[in-house]
Amino acid sequence: MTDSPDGALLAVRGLRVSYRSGGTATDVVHGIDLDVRPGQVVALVGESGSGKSTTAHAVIGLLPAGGRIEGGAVRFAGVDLTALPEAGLRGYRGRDIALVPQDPTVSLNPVQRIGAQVAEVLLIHGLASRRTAPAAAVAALAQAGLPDPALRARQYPHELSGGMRQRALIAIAFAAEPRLLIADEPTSALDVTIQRRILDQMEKMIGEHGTAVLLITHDLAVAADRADEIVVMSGGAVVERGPSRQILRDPSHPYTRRLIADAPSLADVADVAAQAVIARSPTVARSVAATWSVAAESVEPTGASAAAAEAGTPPLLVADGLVKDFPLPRTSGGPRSVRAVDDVSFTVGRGETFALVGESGSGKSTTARLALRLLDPTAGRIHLDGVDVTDLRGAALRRLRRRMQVVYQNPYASLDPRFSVAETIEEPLRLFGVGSRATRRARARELLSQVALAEQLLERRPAELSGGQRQRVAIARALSLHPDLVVCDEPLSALDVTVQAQILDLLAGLQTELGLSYLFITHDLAVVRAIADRIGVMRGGKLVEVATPRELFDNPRHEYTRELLAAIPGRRTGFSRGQGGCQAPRRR
Amino acid sequence: MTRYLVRRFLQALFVLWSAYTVCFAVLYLLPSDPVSLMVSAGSEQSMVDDAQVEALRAQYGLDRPVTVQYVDHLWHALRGDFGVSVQSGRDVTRVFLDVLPATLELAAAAFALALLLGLGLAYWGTYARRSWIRQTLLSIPPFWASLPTFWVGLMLVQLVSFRWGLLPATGNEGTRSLLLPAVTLALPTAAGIAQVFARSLRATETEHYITTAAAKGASPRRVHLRHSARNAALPALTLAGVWAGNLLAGSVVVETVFSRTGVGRTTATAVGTQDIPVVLGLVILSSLLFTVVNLAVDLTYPLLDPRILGSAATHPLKARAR
Repeated sequence: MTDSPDGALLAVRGLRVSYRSGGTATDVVHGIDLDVRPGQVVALVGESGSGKSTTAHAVIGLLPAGGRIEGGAVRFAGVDLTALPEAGLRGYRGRDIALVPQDPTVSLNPVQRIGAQVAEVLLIHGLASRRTAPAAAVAALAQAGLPDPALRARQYPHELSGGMRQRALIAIAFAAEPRLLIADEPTSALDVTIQRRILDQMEKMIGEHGTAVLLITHDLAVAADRADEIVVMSGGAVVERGPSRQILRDPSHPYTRRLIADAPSLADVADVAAQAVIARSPTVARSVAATWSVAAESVEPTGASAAAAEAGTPPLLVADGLVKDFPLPRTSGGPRSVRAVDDVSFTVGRGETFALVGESGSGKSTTARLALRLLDPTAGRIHLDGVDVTDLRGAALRRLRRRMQVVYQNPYASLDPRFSVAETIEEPLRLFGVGSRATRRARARELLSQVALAEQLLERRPAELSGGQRQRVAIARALSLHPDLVVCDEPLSALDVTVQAQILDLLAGLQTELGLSYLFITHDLAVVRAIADRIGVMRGGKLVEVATPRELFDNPRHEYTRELLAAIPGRRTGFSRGQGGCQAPRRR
Repeated sequence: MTRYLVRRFLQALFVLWSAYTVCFAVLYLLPSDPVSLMVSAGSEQSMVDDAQVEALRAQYGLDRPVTVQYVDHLWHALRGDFGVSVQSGRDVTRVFLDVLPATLELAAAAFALALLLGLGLAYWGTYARRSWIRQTLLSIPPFWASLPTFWVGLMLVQLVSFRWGLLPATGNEGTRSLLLPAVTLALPTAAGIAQVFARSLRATETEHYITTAAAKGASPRRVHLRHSARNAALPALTLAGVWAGNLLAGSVVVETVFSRTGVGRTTATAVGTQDIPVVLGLVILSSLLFTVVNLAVDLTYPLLDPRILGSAATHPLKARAR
């Protein structure tokens, strides 16, 4: 082989990348060195904006518009790819170096059949003829673990689930049997259980072909499970590198330590000290969490409300036998419907956090929308504070809205881009005619300080805020009307781990301070372990198990719960203690 | 699918009926009537006395109450009888059947030309190597869109026919006479298609499936043609279908400028002489063409975009296309 003398298949030396916009160039990658040997999996870990994806794209010369390699070398099997003309580089792409992109839902051409998209890579590199390509594509799909590959080849992307689409993309990547695979956050858009299956599949294929892998991820737990070596990036530079085990056990750079501490599924590693405290009682744990996050706050409210809940005070929200059917398009077989929520009952106590966990399609979001009275249930009753609110209409329903507010999944989409922060936070007050302009503005200031944002941000627009800041604004908006119940619908999944940890801190602090009840919707068990008092696991519209985090993690009763637990990344390597979970508090 | 077709058919009927009714009302409100126009069109007004005018009115049924006239016209129209032209005394259906082929020919030629010009201009304007070429090409569509059709027609006649003598200026004789009117009629539509297509081509540049295609090692041309253009063509083609109906409206001006016989010119004459049966017949004809074209666009769209109807098997056209 013509590999570098040191045996590396990919050797990146002093790579510098900049982005230009409007005449000014900003350096985003400052002199990176990186080696990947044949058969080795190297994980490049960092937050968004750390330059990890830019580095990966620079390797195959696929930087987005404005991106430019300013210096350094990318040697692949001894050839400097940065010195090659565009046409020369094309010979490597797909053939020798393949890419598994980040988001399978948008990474396939929506108007082309799956089979044609797999065959294309073979046709481009002359590895199959027009006649043999379709069969080769089906074989590649089968190898990627897609059931019914011949049928899938004839289908369009929208007819496949996210997991199946990612398998199709893996089939495209492996079709030409590349020597290096660049996997750019290959599973971060997928549910944990599917994430695990996809990563297992990739691992299997990597093993069979001896492919070298550059794995880009923001999730240290995924890196810990899958990579031989971890390279941690921050602000466009490498801050730490080494064998995975060593990085996880003994991180030397403060940034790496913070990443480990903030990864929810690695919480056990980080919170060894905290474990002893928490183990005593959930109530104490909550108070501890509260004192850590909101420094000068009294711990009384939490203690009191948690105690009250235990003492049998009527719960705030009672959902009883909720059923929701959605009609399907009519066919010759007559009207059909699908049951999204099937006989779901749960309660949320005052000051309590109840989490609904499940994969996409499990009915958890529909359940939340029913509880919020945004959808009418097909059957079942909803009580708030002892009052049946199932049939409220008009003005009464509007009044009910004041008491239940929502924090949505994607802070990039849930804020009106043309509203300033002040307008966003004041909007619910304005809609309900609360106070005068001056008092509303005062309330917005107060809320902003509650969510730990500077007052100067009042006049900013969402585009000028970071993801974490936006989610804080969304939380402030939800709190403006003094609600009793806040529904958090995947409030963290669009955020980086470190920001996730900060938002969880904030939510816990606000709960203590304001005695809020949370209904927390998420697909990620690791996240809710830190914040939930009780967890309900949903599957196929049914609530299959309800338990405290401790019971659930120590002694899962339902088979599906066990599957979910096993899917949490970081477990394979034992960095996350499988059975040791309980109320791990968040702290900075 | 049958439910969908039935619903679309009922919608089409409603469109036809309302177009007919609105048009009838507008014509009734005009401060004159066909008989007095017909009479005054003769050189010596005194030759026709009031009694004869009244007799003519009675003959065309214009002396009846407006509601009776409306119901009567509608009833006949439903059976395909649009009456006889007040001006020429010929059967309205016959009048249109005579001129329709010429106009359809013109519209079809203009539409094909508009597609070719619009898509081509946008494609080269987006992907040309040199930026000055791109900028020049992309500044053409707004320029075209701002030119009045009659002016373009007159300039073409002036230059191509009179000064250079390349093509005939008027008439319906063969392909050569079709070229100038077709170009004139195509320009505004081509401009619209080009603007929409260029915009959606630019929008696809940041799509992730483009990165996937490039990562396969595909050449820029392959990426542009098979991935960008295929997806970007969808919105442009939807609009093109809608604009195809506008070609009919455009034919009024173009056929007048180029002295071609056709639906457009017949319309212009009929409106001028308030030939109510002809105008009403024309309204029905054009609403019919509009609804048919739109239905055709809606039915072919799933062939271009598989996402529209969910599963491939549920669409009869697609099931056949396999």
